[in-house]
Amino acid sequence: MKQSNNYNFHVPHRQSLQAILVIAALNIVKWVRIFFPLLILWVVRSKELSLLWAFPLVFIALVLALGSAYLWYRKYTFYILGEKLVIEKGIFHKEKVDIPFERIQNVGFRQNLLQQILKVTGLTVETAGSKQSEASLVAIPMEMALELRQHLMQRKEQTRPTDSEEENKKILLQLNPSVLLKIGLSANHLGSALLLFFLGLSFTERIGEILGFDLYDNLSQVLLSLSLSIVLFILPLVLLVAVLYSLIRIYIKYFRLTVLKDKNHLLVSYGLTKRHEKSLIPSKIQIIRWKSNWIREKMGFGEISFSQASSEETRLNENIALPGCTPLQKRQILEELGMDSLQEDSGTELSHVDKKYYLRGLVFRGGIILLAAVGVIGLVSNFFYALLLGPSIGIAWYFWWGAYYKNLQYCVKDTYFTKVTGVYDISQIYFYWHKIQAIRVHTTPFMRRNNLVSIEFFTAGGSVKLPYIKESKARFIVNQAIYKVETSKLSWM
Amino acid sequence: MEERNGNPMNDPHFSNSNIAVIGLPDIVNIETQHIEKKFIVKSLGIAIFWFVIILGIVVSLIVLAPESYLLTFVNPLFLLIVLFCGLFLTLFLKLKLGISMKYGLREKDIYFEKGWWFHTKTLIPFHRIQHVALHQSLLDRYLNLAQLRVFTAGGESSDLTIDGLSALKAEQIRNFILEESNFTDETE
Repeated sequence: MKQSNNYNFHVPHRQSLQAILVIAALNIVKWVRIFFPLLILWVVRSKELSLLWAFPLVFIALVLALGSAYLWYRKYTFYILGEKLVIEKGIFHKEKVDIPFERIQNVGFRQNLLQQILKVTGLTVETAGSKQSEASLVAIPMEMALELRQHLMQRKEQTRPTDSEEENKKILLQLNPSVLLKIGLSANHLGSALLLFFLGLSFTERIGEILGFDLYDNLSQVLLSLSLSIVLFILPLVLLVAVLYSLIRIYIKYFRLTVLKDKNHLLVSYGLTKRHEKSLIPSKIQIIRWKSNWIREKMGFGEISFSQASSEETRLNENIALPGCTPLQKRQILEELGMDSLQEDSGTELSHVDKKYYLRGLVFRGGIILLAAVGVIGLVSNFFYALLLGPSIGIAWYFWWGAYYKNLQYCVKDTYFTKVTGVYDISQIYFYWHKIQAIRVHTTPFMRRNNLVSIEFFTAGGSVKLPYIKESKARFIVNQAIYKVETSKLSWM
Repeated sequence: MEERNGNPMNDPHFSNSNIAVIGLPDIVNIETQHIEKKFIVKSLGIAIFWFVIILGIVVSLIVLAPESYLLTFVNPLFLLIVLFCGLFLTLFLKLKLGISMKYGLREKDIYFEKGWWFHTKTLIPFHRIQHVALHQSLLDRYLNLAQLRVFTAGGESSDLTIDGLSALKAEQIRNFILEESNFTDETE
């Protein structure tokens, strides 16, 4: 194995000097977050005189932040002792953390904007099954981080088949700005548009309050006189802002997303202001989702995402989404993860859930939505508008729920379960039977009268619900799932 | 068998009767047991205890401070009726819930069902269990009851809490699960 040996990790190392700045910045951000309400109150309430206090206070805060960061930096050392990573830290309360190599699950790099400017990287060590928090270094040079990772993952890599260097660096997916543009344009803008609309509404209400103008008193007039022109003018504006917002958000979040094949896992890195580097490890993946909508399908791409189980103690799961994936790239990624069996979609016969789910949802949920909407509108404006808007909300629900029911389908396969769901964005969800942790069957009196049950499958990466299935069929599915879990030699992690 | 592809639902060789013959798990035919009656009595007792305390506060409010702020809003008689209705509803729901709770153990999994209106049945295979904990409050120790908690990696909502076991039985179940799988246990 080719290995550069620029660093001797067997002697205690400090981090780069840049760590002081990074820690100081993190401290200041933390303090600002804690004292944010106080600060706002102070700025609003204070006259010019007391604002003079700001300068010495800011100065003291800076000195404190830098001073404590310097002490923290001086006292924080790390080295390798035998088969362990040892970290010694603590200004007043000394602490020594040992992490045996065999317990290390993953070594990740993290870079925020400051770290990118200072040309250093943060390094986190994820462990499984330990109560101690995972170790994290704040600022070390990139070469050092790479070499340290090589040392820490040594044991893991030895057990793997050693591939040639070129094989390791195989790029499976890379997003350039034009693809990011396509993703941003084809995103579901309805949600963010609605959010913006209501934010705008509450904002105008506040402006109205300040100007002594009650919006709701005049709402009926406003609606009557300007309804059409407002809809024609405001709606496109809101939509434009929503589209711009998703474009910027997606550009920053998924900037230069790359998926690399590395030994038997995949390395995913992305982000403009904060560079994330994550690993996709087949054994940790619990649920796989393939999401697309009709615009994206026309453009020839979708989004594949994975729910992974992380360390056992924290019981958190982490979601890794890869937008802008063509069906071919999806197939390649799944192949590299050893999940080719999920590809046999052509022969899949999907079944719908029971028709009563549709009827019940239409009447029951629709009724609740209608009542709530009519009630709210009736309270804030007047009863006339409520009666006017009520039917349109009812009709919208009728179509929305109809589409939801039509799309909701599932299939029980020999090694995995799959479910299709969604109205505009349609996702196909997969999980292998052996990933199941627990199974729960729900019923209500209505369902019991009609011999229906809902099944919920729990995995370490979240749960999947299958509503309103005929009892006999559900019994078969649950028995099959339990049989697979209890006989499978495959581990869930 | 594991590797076989295709839809098993349409596969004549994979019918339910066939599986039953070779002794596959079946969620319907699990032998279950009710929880201890003492537990139901205990939960009813606790509800009555809190009711008496709240009733005491309200009655003393009515007697000692009839002019108080709260009572200018609500009719004292109405308040008492609401309180009693609340008590009966709580007692009814607690009773129904207690009666509905059943548990079962098999070779490879643990089963628990509960709920009167919203009914749930949960099944957890032993080798997915991360740890088991026994919990006993002071009152539980006096009544010789215990609560068994089963944790999996599936998150809090998939964890199982079996109430109203006798202390001996809870200990036995815990030991059985420990024997069937190898992991660490915790006792509170």
